[in-house]
Amino acid sequence: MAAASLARLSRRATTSAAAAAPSFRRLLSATSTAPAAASAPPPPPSAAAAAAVGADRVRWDYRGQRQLVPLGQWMPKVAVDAYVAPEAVLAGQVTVHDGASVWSGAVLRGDLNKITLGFCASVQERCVLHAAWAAPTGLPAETLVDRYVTVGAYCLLRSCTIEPECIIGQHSILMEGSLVETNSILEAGSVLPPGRRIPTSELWAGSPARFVRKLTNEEIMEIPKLATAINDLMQSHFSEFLPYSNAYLEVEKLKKSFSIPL
Amino acid sequence: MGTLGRAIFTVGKWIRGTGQAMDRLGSTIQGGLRVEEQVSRHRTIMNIFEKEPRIHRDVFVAPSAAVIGDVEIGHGSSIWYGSILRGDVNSIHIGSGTNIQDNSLVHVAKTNFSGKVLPTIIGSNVTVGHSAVLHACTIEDEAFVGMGATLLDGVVIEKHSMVGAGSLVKQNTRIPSGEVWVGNPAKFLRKLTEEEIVFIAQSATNYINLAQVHAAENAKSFDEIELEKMLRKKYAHKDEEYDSMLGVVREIPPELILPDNILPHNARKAVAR
Repeated sequence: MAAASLARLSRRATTSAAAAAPSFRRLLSATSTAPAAASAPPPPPSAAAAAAVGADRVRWDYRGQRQLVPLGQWMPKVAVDAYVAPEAVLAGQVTVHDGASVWSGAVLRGDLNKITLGFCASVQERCVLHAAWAAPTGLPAETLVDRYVTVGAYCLLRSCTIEPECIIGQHSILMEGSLVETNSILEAGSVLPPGRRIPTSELWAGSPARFVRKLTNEEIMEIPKLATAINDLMQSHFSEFLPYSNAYLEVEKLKKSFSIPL
Repeated sequence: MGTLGRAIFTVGKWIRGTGQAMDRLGSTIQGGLRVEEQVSRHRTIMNIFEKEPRIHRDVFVAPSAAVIGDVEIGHGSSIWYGSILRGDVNSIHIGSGTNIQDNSLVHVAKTNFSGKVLPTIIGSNVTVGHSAVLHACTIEDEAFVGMGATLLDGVVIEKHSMVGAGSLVKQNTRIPSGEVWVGNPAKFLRKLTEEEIVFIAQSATNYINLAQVHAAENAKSFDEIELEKMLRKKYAHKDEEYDSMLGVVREIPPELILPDNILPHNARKAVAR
């Protein structure tokens, strides 16, 4: 009886878009109150009722959000000494090379095109890196963050190329097809319109971004130093985490307390 | 399981037991600084007392998103990773086919300076770009809010209009139909061309298809995920382009095939039509 209702629940879950992982309460209800669970299911297919549906949606999935979300054949690749925060989301074709770091809340969505983070690059908190299918420039629309680039917090990068050793200020927006050449700095809060190019060793700011001044040699030397400093900082965050999470210990404890067979 | 199998299983169990004992030893040595990881307490869909989100069954809500309070979402819409829809002090209505992209924030106002109590109403087939901040505004059907835009209280975006990336649309601004407003503060830039209006509708459709892919992926059970990991490892050495050069046709397991409608050549055909 319990098995039948469980089978019905799982069949419904795999065909609908609702999350398949059962919450503990539902597991409990499936095993103990089987008739109630059996009568809960699919609502009448009328359009009016459909809008109010949601009773069977999983509200709490103890697994949380996966950090690396594969799509089809693409699996995000993270180098062994790169740090990806547990709250970050990498989906699709994303490659994070050595020494790079992706901080909390960042979303790197390589579902339509590639996203690459080079050596010692860092994507700070709450950034969104996405790639469109096609860029207005006609060049490949992948998002490439080359080596020693620091992308500040809350940036939005879409199908842009950032050449080695740059700094992108916080909360800036780089639109499709934009190119930031080597050794340049983009100030915080700037917006790069689609297809805009920032030449080497220049400082640009504003929305839309405009040329401010050329960078001095000392400032250019500082850029990879910042990236390395963030790398050092990243090491201390990295060492806080074990290679594999031991959240499963709490799950086992909870299951034991709910008397659900392990 | 034969005796050999059973023996190997027992040896594995001893090794795991040893490992767990060593883990406990290491944790004791670490003392106060050790971290015991906890199960994720993040709730994707959350009530505030009696205010319950009403979300249609085929809406993709990313697990890291948070839909809280009095929110209603129509069919085919998608709420992407990290977005927060907080209908705690007022209501949020989202139509069908709308996408709220990653890291956005949709909130409502209980009161504001002018005294009007404003819910947030987002129409159908609207594209709200990454990291947008929508506060007590009304967006009509088939509009496009660029990424990073901030829409303050009382803003009304009419049909077929576009808010440029990074703009700040100030309180009570009304953006007329078919126009592009950009900048901080947002000002009229130009009118939208016919093909751009078509593009907005197309982008909403693309996102509906893409959302299905992500929804399917995020809904997988533990066993399915492990199976696909194994399949991917097995097919890792077989590159499709190399195979096609050699004239070899390999069968990719169906679990690893993405649906066709999100691939670029199909979408371009659709746009050209």
